[in-house]
Amino acid sequence: MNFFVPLFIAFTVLYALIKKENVFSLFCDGVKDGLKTTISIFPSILGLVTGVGMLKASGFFDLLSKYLLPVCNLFDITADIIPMAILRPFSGSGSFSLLNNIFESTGVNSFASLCASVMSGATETTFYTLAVYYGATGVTKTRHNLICSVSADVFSFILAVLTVKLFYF
Amino acid sequence: MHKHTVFIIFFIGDTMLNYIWVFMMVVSFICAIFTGNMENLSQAVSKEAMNGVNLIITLASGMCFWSGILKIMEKSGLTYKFSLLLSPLINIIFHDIKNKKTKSLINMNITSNILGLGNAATPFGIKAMQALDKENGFKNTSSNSMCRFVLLNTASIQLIPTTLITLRTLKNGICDSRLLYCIWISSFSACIFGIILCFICERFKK
Repeated sequence: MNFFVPLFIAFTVLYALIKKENVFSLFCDGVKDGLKTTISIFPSILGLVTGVGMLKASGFFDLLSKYLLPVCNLFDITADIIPMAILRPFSGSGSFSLLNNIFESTGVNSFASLCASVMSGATETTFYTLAVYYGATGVTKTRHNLICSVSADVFSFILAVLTVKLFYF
Repeated sequence: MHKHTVFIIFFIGDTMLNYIWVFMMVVSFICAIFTGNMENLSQAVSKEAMNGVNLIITLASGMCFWSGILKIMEKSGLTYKFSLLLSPLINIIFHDIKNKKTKSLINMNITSNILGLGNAATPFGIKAMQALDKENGFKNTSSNSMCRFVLLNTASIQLIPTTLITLRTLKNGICDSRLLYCIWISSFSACIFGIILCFICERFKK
């Protein structure tokens, strides 16, 4: 990681320079795009961070953990990551708000935080993606697509827990 | 069963967040009545809105910086170079697609996703879907290759999950290669699993 990212950046800039591109002005253009993206997700982040925080403060997650405890013990996981697995396929901003909340309540290097990090890094907002791509074409019958996509997500969540256990605990 | 699948998807995609958010507000109020956390809850409103602002500022740095780097990759043709590496794999997964242009659109979409160019991936993806739909013999029904293509997008692999890494680094969390391995193993295996599932479904459901 410490090696990979700087190498990636150095290689990219050098390659562009060799290709006679105006590297720095391209970079600045990209930053402008990034700023636009940031501003466009700001309202939903603000709303969802508040929502997740309110659920937390109301004791909802504690209640949920209490009732999910037997199930979680069965699979040897913590209940903190269950809401993450549910919210992740629906909303990117929502899952990031939740991730931030898990970091704050259990510590950034806890088992739950690492699992949630891997979950959010390894999967996509499945339902949103399906809606965008099938919305662009006239297709209304998606056949086996939904079931395959959701199964792949579930598979990825299970692997996230297993790999974190394998590499960190 | 599949007749209404897409309507469910639209319902979920567009208005689900609507319900999720209302759920959060209403359920936290009801919960607080029972648990006696009303004071905490009312304080949380202002505190958490502040947290939202903090989170967006935390994310902004990484998002802007990486958008800059990715713009350089896109314009210098490095993204295209990366896409050449992928083409053998694309040829296997989309063996039934003969049209070269469709294949290259698919390739650019997947490559952009892997590199984390979300904004570039979507336009390529939509064009690829429309091209695949043209080759599709059935109206209103997705073809086998369309299912495989959308699956590659819903179970997409990202080489460096930049936003996640920014957040973890700024919170002083562990952010080493082990984390990347976990993410790569999970997302790559899920992708393979999904594709195999697609091929199996194609066999059994005509």
